[in-house]
Amino acid sequence: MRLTKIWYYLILIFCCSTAYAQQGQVKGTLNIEKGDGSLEPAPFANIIIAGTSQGSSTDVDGSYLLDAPAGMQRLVVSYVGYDNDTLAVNVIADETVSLNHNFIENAIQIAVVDIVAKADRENTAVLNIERQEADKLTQNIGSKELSRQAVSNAADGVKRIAGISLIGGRYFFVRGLGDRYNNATLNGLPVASPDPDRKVIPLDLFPSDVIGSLNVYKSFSPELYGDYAGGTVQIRTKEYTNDRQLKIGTGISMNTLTTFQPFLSTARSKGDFLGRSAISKEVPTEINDLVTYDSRTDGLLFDNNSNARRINAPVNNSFDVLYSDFFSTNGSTNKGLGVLLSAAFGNDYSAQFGRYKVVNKQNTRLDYDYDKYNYSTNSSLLGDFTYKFNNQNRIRFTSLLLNLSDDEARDAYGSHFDYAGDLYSRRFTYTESSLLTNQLSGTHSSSGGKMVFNWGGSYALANTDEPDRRQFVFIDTDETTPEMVYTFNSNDINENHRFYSTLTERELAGKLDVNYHLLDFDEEEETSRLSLRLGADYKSKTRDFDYRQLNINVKQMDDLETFGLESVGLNMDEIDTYFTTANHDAGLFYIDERDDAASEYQVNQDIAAAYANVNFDILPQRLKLIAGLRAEYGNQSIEYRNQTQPLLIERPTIEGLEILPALSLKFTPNAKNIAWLTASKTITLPGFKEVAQFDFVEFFAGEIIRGNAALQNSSNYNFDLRFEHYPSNAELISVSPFFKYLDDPIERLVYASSSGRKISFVNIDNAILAGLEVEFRKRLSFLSGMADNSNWLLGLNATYQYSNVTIAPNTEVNGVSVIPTTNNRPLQGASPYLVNASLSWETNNNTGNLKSTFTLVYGIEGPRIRAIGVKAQNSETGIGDVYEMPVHRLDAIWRAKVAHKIGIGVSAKNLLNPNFITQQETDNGIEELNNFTRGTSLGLSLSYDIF
Amino acid sequence: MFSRFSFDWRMIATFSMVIFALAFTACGEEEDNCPDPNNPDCTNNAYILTDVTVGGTTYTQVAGTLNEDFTMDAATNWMISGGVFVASGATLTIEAGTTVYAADDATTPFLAIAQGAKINAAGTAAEPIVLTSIKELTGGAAPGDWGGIIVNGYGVLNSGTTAEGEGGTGVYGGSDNADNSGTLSYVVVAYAGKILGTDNELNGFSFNGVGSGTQVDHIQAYFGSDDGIEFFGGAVNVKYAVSTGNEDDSFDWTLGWSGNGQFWVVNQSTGGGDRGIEADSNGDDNAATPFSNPNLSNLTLVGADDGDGDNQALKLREGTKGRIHNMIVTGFPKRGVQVQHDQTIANMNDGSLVVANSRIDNANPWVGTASDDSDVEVSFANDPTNSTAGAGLVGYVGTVSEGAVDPAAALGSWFTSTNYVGAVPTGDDWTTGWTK
Repeated sequence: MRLTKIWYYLILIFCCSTAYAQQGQVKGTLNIEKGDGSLEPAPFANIIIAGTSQGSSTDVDGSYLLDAPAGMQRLVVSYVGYDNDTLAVNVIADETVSLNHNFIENAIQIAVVDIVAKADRENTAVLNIERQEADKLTQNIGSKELSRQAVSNAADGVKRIAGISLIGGRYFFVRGLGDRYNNATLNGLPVASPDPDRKVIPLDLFPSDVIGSLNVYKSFSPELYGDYAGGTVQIRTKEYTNDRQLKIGTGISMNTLTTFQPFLSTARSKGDFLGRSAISKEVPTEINDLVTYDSRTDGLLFDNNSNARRINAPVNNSFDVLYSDFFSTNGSTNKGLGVLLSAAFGNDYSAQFGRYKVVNKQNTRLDYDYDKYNYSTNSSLLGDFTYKFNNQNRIRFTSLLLNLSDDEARDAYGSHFDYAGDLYSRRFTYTESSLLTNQLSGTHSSSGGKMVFNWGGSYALANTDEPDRRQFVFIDTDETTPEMVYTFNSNDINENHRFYSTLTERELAGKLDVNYHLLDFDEEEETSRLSLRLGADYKSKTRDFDYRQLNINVKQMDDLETFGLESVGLNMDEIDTYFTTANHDAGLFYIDERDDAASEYQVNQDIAAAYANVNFDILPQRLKLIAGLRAEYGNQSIEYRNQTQPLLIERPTIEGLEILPALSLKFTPNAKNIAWLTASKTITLPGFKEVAQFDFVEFFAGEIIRGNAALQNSSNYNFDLRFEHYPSNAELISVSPFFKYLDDPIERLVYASSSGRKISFVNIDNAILAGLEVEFRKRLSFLSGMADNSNWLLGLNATYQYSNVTIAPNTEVNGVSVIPTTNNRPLQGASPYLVNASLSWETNNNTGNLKSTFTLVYGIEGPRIRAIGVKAQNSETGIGDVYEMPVHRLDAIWRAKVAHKIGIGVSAKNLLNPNFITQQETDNGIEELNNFTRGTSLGLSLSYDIF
Repeated sequence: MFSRFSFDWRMIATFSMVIFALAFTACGEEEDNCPDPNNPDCTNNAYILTDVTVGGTTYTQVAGTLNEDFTMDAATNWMISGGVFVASGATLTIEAGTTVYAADDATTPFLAIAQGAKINAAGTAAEPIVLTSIKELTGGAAPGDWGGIIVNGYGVLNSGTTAEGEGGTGVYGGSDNADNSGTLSYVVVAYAGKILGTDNELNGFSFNGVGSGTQVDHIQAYFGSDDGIEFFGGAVNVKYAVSTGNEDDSFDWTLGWSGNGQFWVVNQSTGGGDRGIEADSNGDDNAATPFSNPNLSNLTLVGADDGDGDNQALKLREGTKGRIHNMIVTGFPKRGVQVQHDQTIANMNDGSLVVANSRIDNANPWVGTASDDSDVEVSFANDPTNSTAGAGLVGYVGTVSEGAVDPAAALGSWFTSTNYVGAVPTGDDWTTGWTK
């Protein structure tokens, strides 16, 4: 440790000392080379000495003059709409050397994205190249674009990609296919998920601060896990830069609905602000030692902590720091240690005032208003270390720690069809999720790159705690008067409770991959006529879940006369005053455990696969055939006690070997155009809990869900066409028609039950999905480069899709009829259209010391099914499916860089502040079930580049 | 050293093989040693019998699924743990005079008769069959200690062809309203009705799609925490039924029940209670067919105030039809007969829902409530055969002859011919001797 420190300081001193060396000058002209070979000046382009903030910019004629330290220097030249270039120059003390450069339009500057050398994947142009060079259909977005659009996390980021929509702010759909059909990897390796009810890790866990780029693969390739039909999102964490960076930033934001407005919570405890307080909220240890707790025999072992705390919400804060450097061991960038360290924290106060209404075909059953207040935090620590032995060999170690917390207070009040008096419920829920993942990977190539060997391994630990959810339900004692006089609702023993749950998921993964060029290897381009990729991967996942619910029985405490409150009712904000030891010992209330044999379950999943992929140029440089096979063995089981017969332990298991082929034809008539045709087969595994035959409730007051042990994998047949046109580096036009046939897909359906609408999962007959995606990323040259030195960029993607599921008549789950409203309808969550657009206006002032970008971001997602309706078997029509209606999203972001060091960002998000509406059709017409707004958010951020 | 890294195919192959070997050994076959409830590889959910001693008495505890004929004799002390199912094809015989205790062991004991299975529980007035909480012996017996009796049949439902019972108690429903699930006669279920979750409660007796071939008479649901006796579709007939002190509804029907009922007693307690009868057809679609449409006669509903002032005698709602004759209602603090929701009111107005020949001696005897919560006139109030006069009951015993109709003539030959209003005639108290 000490040695490392000394070494670090030595390097620091060495690097810094160069800044005080003798000075010389560099001058020259920067031009744009047009497609026809003609040159025109590049006015107001920037030239910066790599690793410093020292720089200059060109005048209207494209010429510049720069002071620079003597010695070999690398200059980074940049011009809006073009790629940065790094130029080497030997600066001589007290002399002026000449250096000219042409930015090339309509051509690919970086011919090869070297998979051994590190590519700057944060840059749109580089990602564009990667996309062109890829041997599978990919779409991506880099961190530069993410910050241009002021994206806060990976979930927010992927929705900017064509065909992707986001539901509930965190769960992404690819072409209308939800969680079940998607996958996510971190730097190409699987990652454990802290979400008990989803397969894919919630992407909002990954703050933008750690993201280098987001890639989405919508077509299958044998080296990807076969369990997807929509897309695999690959999150790449940030990597070191060759130039040293140390950057600190901070920000504040406000929301019109929340900031400085009344905000409800419970008393705060230590660690709440940072979102690390789950431990302090755990079940009291005395209770933890008991199998079942009953306060009548074990004593009242709880602290009271359910009084309301009412404040006015303060502004939201964020802090981040990023350090990146490369420590060369031989003076060049091809040997040494690259380091990136990043830490970030952000918090957010939000409020939502909506409605929760449940209707049947003729009548209203539940009609509540709700007020929801959330304080959430997001923290991240990222350490990334790459050691380059040389240009052929590198290993990388990545360690990422994420922590997400949410502290919610939710009041819901209104009428319930079964109660005369109105109900009022109050619930405090705190959830804390964390993910720690460590990855070690390496890339080695034979000299010349004829053979490239990749390996990687990871271990991830994800955890979610929901400690001490507290819920109290009150009922109005006299419905004949408009005044609410609330007492405890003692009708349902489960309603007043404290609830604790914990989930731990561990995932171990490894992969080996070798790519060998067999025929006509071109060392320069690292391409060949025929290459073969072989590999194997393995992942093993375990998940443990357990919950305890301690019901507070208030049957002897629901008479308001007990407290002399018969005219005013209970004081909900001071609820602790009723749950005193004295009242407990007087027999007014007691706490006992809810019995649920299936409260605990364990999941195991092992997936091992081997694959081969051939890449063959049928017509050299023009027509490529990519064909491969993946053999994937999977074994997935969940173990739990039978809920009604607890002596029995059940373990439904899905096991099998799947052979998954993928075939692509890639036609490249010239450097600017690519056409793709791909076909593949993939599978979809049931979710872990979907095969567990016990009742559970996904979220409180949600529907009862019961798994189906008969579920099988479904098969997906995927067909994609794509035409891509690359007018220049950062520009793109693409059109992608797609078609999918899902055989025996798993659908979430309602089945007939004595307990109202119960949900399960069933392999239905089939589903088809067809659509068209269009992407357009263009510099608007007719507006750009005019007298105001500005540059306009337009990004647009739009998706139209059609989907239809077919449920066979008399479909059953666990021997029980399903009762959907219709047997043919769109996929749940599939919007018929999706549009994302961004318009950026970049300007440089004459000295290059002020560079600013103004961006407008727009998005809309068409109406989609949120939940399916039900129909009585002999009725003509049922209750309609529940639809989420489209909203227009409009954000405006202004970002500026002053003197190459100070970053300023101003954002106004959700400017139109639309109403989010959920609705359903019944005999009474369209019933509005929910209607709320999110408010407009204003943010200000500042950053400072120390290096 | 890594700079001199070279490929070794053997190394890669070995590594791959190790991975695969690990993967396959992890899922190797395990020995089947069935039936063994602790062996997760046992798919045969058979039952096990264990001797359990509680308070010095040894009980034969039954757990699991009875997949063959089984007899609980009166000489043995029986206990059930968890959900005990009788599988299709099997018959559970419970001899007259037998008491079956529900264990107090952090499970939810219940007895469920699957579709195609039969229960043969023929007690007598002198030797009734009792199913109750073990806490009745050890102390602290309370409503909700266990889950009660669930009978699943092949009768007709108006939701789906088949449906799942509350609390994971099995599949029921079909097309045979004449289905036979056996006999329940002189059977008392006490301290049942465990609440598992919202809308997920077990009752004293749950008749799930039970057909009219099933013989049910002389049953009592005693101090359960949910409904006393509930019908989900089907057409089972019930004569001589007592619902005592149940904390939710004393009788409840939904999903298209169309059986007959005669001599029903509701006896609420001040400890907790809700509705004397909660009658629904279908909560998702009030117009779903077939409608709930039972014929009932000779009922006595005695309410109590459990503190919330909310108890009422009849809530006829969500599209139910039916004919109720010769009923006495008294003592419900909130209201007597309520007809709720537009479809139910339409049924009343077209004569497919009838309350006649009845004494509603109660506060707010007739209440009509439309779907939008507005008040609607109840036509039964104008029926001259109905009255709000008192019936002079002693407890729930007593009848009046004025306004009575002979149910055998009015409703069919299944009914015992009577000439009085009410369930229990003075001097002929059929509830004595066998009920709690």
